[in-house]
Amino acid sequence: MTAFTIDNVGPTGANGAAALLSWRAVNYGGTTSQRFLFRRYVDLAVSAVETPSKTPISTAGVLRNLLVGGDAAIGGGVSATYTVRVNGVDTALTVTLSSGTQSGSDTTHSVSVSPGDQVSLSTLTSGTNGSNMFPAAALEFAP
Amino acid sequence: MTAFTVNAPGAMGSNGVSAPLEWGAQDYGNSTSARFLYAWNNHASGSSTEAQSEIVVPVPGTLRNLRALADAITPTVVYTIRVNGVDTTITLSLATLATSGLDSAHTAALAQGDVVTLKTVTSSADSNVVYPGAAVEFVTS
Repeated sequence: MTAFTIDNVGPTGANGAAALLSWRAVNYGGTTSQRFLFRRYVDLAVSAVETPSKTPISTAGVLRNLLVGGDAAIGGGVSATYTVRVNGVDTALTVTLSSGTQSGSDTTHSVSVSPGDQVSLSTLTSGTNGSNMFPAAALEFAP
Repeated sequence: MTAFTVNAPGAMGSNGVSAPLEWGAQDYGNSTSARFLYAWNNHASGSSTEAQSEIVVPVPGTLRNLRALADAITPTVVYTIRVNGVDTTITLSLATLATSGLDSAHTAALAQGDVVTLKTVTSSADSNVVYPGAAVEFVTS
């Protein structure tokens, strides 16, 4: 059973006016250091380098409705914090999954972006976890 | 049971919808020959096989605003959008040590079923892992 899946790609949005940005990796990397999910998906553990997480923005708009999770709940007393970053700086769009939680969202915050901005997704776990739970994140980009 | 699923690729919706098409690779492929970034992303060297770069558009539209990013390398790199295996005028060049680039001047019209790819050519062979990536805006018509 797959309880949380974000696959590659594409524009969505109930009114057809928003696009989906998504990130994914195989696992959290077994470290408590900051790591990055890959833009769309790469079949590897999270990246220590931010560049492969970055996606360039072509039009002005707003980032909102961050959803995160994995194919299984993070366990072992470890929590995971997902943070949307713009041009290498943390934004207010963030979700923390507590141990035993499989998915979460931030529907409260939004972030304005301009053409040329680069959006990335960082993860930070409170303890080491290298299980292949395929952490993923998606957010709405509304031009 | 699937409790939360977003599958690929998303529906385009009504006219004038803007959506990013994206490509990525681990490096430029260590060659001065044409290399192709992978559709959406991949942790592998730039490919000599264009099919690995293909994104098919399900509705007509226009491509515009090509943007590229990568960690810095010494060679210059030319990024070119191709449609159905043919270069378009949407192209940009990353200068030595540049980490981003933009072509906002050119556009390309697409018909339903057209195949879009992203070609790179470096001025000298380079195998550094610099995560080249690109995105172009696709606006439905």
